[in-house]
Amino acid sequence: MRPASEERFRSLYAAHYDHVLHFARRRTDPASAHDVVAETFLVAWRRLHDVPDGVGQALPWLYAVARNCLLNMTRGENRQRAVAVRLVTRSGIDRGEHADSVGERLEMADAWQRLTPSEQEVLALAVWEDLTSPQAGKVLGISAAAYRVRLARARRALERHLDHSPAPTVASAATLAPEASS
Amino acid sequence: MTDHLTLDQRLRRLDAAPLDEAIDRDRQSRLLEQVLTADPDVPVKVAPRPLRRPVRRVAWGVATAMALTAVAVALPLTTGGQPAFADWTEKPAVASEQDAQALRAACLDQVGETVGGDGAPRVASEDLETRLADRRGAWVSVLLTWTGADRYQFTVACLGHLPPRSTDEPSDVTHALMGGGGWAPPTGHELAEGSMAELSVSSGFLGLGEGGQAATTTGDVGPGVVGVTVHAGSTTIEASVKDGTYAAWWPGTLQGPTPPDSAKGANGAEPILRYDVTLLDGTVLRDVAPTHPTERLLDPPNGGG
Repeated sequence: MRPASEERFRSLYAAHYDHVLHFARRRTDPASAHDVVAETFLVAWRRLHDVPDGVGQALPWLYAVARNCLLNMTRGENRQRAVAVRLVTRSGIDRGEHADSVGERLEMADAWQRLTPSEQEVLALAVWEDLTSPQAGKVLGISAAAYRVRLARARRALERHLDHSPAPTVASAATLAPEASS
Repeated sequence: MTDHLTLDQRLRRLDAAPLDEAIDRDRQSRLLEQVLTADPDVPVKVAPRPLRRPVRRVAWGVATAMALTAVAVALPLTTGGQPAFADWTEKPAVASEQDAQALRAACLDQVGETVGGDGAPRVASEDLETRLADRRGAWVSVLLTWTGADRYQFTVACLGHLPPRSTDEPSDVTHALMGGGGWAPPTGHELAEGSMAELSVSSGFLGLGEGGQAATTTGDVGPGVVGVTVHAGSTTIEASVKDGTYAAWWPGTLQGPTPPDSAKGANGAEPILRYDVTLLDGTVLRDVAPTHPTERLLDPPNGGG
């Protein structure tokens, strides 16, 4: 019979592995993303008593750990305080799509690249991680109210970049995340 | 102007990791089992360390030698002859002050604000002194140490890729943090064998993936010793020596360029490394028997024991 702690961890792992992997994949290359997932769940196993067990609370905790992993990965190079978020690759954009749709996405991609990593981060937590403000605040270590302020600013910044976006070019598309095999 | 919902919808279509993306379930299962085999009682810091590979510590073999943590980070993935270390040299060259400072900063960034605790002294990382620095090809190493009043010592062996004349930050930085103490320093021609670590050069945490290895060792020598040559299997390494401390690292394992078939020797039954020492007058003593730190414990302050 397995100890209760192991059962709890197995449940946690099964419920959240995919989400943590996707979180990491949006922010780094596939190989590093698996490293981040491994480190995140190792921390969770070793600090299982710290993982909140309320509804919807464990995942923000795991995201916060994963974010720390990602920050530390690059800290030696440029002292980042926020994790930049990637978009789908160019090949993923233009694969089988109508030219108008491709243009619109490249325009968005161009505007996204002009956001700061902090702005990308707050937007990504709402759009792709689909977190509430309190949850996203937990990930970033700030209050829900502070998160909402940052989110509003980030949205305004993105809209501003979209309004002043130059015509998308191949060069701008090249700034999207490079495709890499896992 | 774009409303929020439209903006979010447009962004969702650019998700770099959509939820319908295929996931390697075998890998997921392997990771689960590997995590569960980790000791849950070993404390970890709130901020997890990045890309730190497990390091196989070779203990000093006595209780007073205490391993705190041993971590390694993101060495380049290598295969076979470990091309990342292709220009590694047996003999160390001088690392510039600028390079040593750069690696120290990168290494301390990984180490965190403090070392120790949990029964050991807690020391601000900035208080670690740069004891040794050298260059072997494109790699720079620094040895950071802190020694307390009772000679309890923390040692951080740092390694990073920093080609000569590069103005970039060091990359592929890795380190091993070790602690222990309470022993008397070596005297005369003695060499006190210190800590050793193997840095796993793998493509993933917890031993997942392929990779190579590097090994490192450090220790103390008496005032009569000015040079130390380490023999790790077929690999010969001229250590850096300064003020009674030596340090060396090399590609491969503690027992040579290729992984050993077994851990024989790692328990102290057989010597793992062999040493030649060069004395002040130039005399070379070959294959000297190292002393071990805790064979010479300091007397306690009350003079008993």
